[in-house]
Amino acid sequence: MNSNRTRLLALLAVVVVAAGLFLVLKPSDDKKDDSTSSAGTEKVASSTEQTVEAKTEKPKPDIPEVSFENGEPAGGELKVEASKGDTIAFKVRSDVSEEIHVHGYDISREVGPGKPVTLRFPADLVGIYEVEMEGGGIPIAELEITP
Amino acid sequence: MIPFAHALASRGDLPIPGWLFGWAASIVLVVSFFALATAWRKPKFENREWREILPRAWRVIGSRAVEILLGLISLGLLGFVVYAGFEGTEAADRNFALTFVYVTVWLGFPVLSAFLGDLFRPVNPWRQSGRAVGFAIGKLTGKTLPHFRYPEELGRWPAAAGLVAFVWLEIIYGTAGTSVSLSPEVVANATILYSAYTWLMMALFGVEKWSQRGEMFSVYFHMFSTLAAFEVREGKLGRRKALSGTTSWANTPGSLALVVTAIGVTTFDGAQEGALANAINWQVDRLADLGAGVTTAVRGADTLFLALVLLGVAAIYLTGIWGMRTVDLKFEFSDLRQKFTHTLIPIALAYLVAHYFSLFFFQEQAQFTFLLSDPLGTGSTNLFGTANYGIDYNAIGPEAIWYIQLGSLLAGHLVALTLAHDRAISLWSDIRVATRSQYWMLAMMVCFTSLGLFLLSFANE
Repeated sequence: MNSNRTRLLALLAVVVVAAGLFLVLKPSDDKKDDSTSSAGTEKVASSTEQTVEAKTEKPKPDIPEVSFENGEPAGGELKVEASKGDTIAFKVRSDVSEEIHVHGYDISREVGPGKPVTLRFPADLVGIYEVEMEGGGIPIAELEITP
Repeated sequence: MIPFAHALASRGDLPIPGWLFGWAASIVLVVSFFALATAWRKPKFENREWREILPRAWRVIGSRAVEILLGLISLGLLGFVVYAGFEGTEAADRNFALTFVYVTVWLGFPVLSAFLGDLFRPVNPWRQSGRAVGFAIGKLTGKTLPHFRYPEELGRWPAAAGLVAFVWLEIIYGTAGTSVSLSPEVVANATILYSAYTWLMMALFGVEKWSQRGEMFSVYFHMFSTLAAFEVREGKLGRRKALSGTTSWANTPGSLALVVTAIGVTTFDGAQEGALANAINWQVDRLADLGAGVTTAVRGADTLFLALVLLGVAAIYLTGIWGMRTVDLKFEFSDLRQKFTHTLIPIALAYLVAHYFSLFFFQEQAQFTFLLSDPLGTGSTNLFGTANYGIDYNAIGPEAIWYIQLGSLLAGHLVALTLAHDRAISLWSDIRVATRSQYWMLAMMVCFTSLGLFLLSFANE
C-alpha cells in the first residue's frame, strides 16, 4: 500500500537523521580522554570559587577551604568539581563542634573550633553530592563528579 | 544545593550536556514533523472496546479471598508507616516511612499503572477498610448506609487539592529553611490526618464515590492507568487498546486541574534548585525584609513559585486551545479545553520518569535492603540480614540515566501528539482543518518537551 510505504520511508528517514545527528554531535571518546585523564599523577579537584587550577607540576596544590561560621558556610557553599578517578580534597574549618557528613560517599568526620579537618578521598561515585554539617543539617559544600 | 532536591536525595543527577540537549531538541522537531506527515485519517483510540482475558486465572487472582488478603497487607503497611514514623529514627533516609510513601508507592504506582492498569484500586487501604466497615454495618443493621449525593460539579478538584497538599508537604514544608528533609514524625502525623479525612469523606459520600473523585492517591494513580491496555470491568479482567482508556477520562470536571497539577509539581521540583533558584532566593530575601523568619520566608517564597508554575503550565495548555479556535470556531473554548485534556497524561508521566528515575532507582536499593531488614533505622533489627547494605551509586552510569530521561520525554511527546491528532480527526471531519488545528497542539507539546529538556540540562549554580 502506498501510504504505508510512505510512512515506512518517513520513519526510516527519521531514524537515519536521528542516528546521524547523534553521531555528529556526540563528542568522541578520544577527546574526552584527553581532557580528563592525567595519567598516573594525583590531580586535586579544583574549586570554582577559588579558581585554583590544579597543576600537576606543583608539589603541593592549594586545597579549597570552607569555613563554617555563625551557623552557615562563610561566603556560601563550596563547589568542588572533579572527574571520576581524581582525588577530592577540601578543608573544613568550624567555629563549633560538629560532624561533617559527605552524602553518597557516607564519610563522617568530627570538626571543632581550632581543629580544622582536611577530607581526602577518591572520587569514585559520579553525580552531585552534598556535604553537610550533620547536627544542624546545614549544607556546606557540593561535589560534582563527572564521568 | 542539589538540583531536583528531594526529601531523600543524597545524590543529584548531573545536568545533561549541551550536545545531548541539542540532539534531543532536534529529534523532538523531527519526530513531530514525522507524526504530521504520516498522520492517519480515522480515529484509532476513541473506541472503548474491551475483551475479557484469562477468565480462569482471574477467578483466583481477582477472588474475594485475595482481595481481603491484599487489603489486610496494605492496611498493615499503612499502620506500619505511622509506627515507623513515630518510633523509628529521625534520619529520613534510614526510616522506612519516607522511602516507602514518597518513593516506592508515590513513584512506583504511576509507572506500573501506566503499563499494567489500575493496580492501586485493589490495594488501597482506605477503600478496602471502608468497604469492610460498610459490609459489616450492612450485616449488623440489615440495610445499606445512606450517603450524601456527591456534588458532581466538584469532580476531581478535591483530588487535585490533595495532590498539591501532598507535594507541598514533601518539597516545601519538608525542605524549607534549616531542615534538609521531611521528618518521619511529620509523615506519621500527616498519614493519620489524611486517613481520618478520607474515612470521614467516605462515610459522607460513599467509599467508591470518594475513591473515584476525592481520594488523591486513587485518582492520581488511576489517571496513569488509563494509558494501559488492561482494565477490570464489572469484576472481570480484560484487554483494551492501549491509550484508549484516556479518551473518556477527562469527561469529569477537575480533570484538567489534576493533570496540570501533576505536571506542575514535577516542574517546580525540578526548577526550584536550578532554573528558579535565583528568583526564589530573591523572593525569600524580600519576605525576610518584611520581617518573616527564615523558615517562613523560604516556605512562603516556594509556595508562591509553586502557584506560579501551576498557572504557567495551565497557561501553556490554554494557549494551545485558544490557538485551535483561531483555526475553526465550531467548538466552544470550554468544550475544546476538556476534549484535549487527556493528551497531557503522557506528558505528566514523562516528566515524572525524567525527574525521578534516578531517585527511584537508587532509593529502591535502600527499600529492599536495609529498610527491609531495619525499617526503624535504629539498628535493633536485622530481619533479612541486609541491614548493613548500602546504596550502590555506581550501579548505573550517568549516561544511562540521561538516555532514560530523554527517552521518557520523547516517548511522552510522541504519545501526546498521537492522542491529540486522534482527537482532532474525531472532532473535525475535514482532515485539513483537523491538521491545521494540530499545529497549535504541536507547538504546545514542543513547549512542554523543551521545558522538560531545559530543566534536565540546567547546570546548577
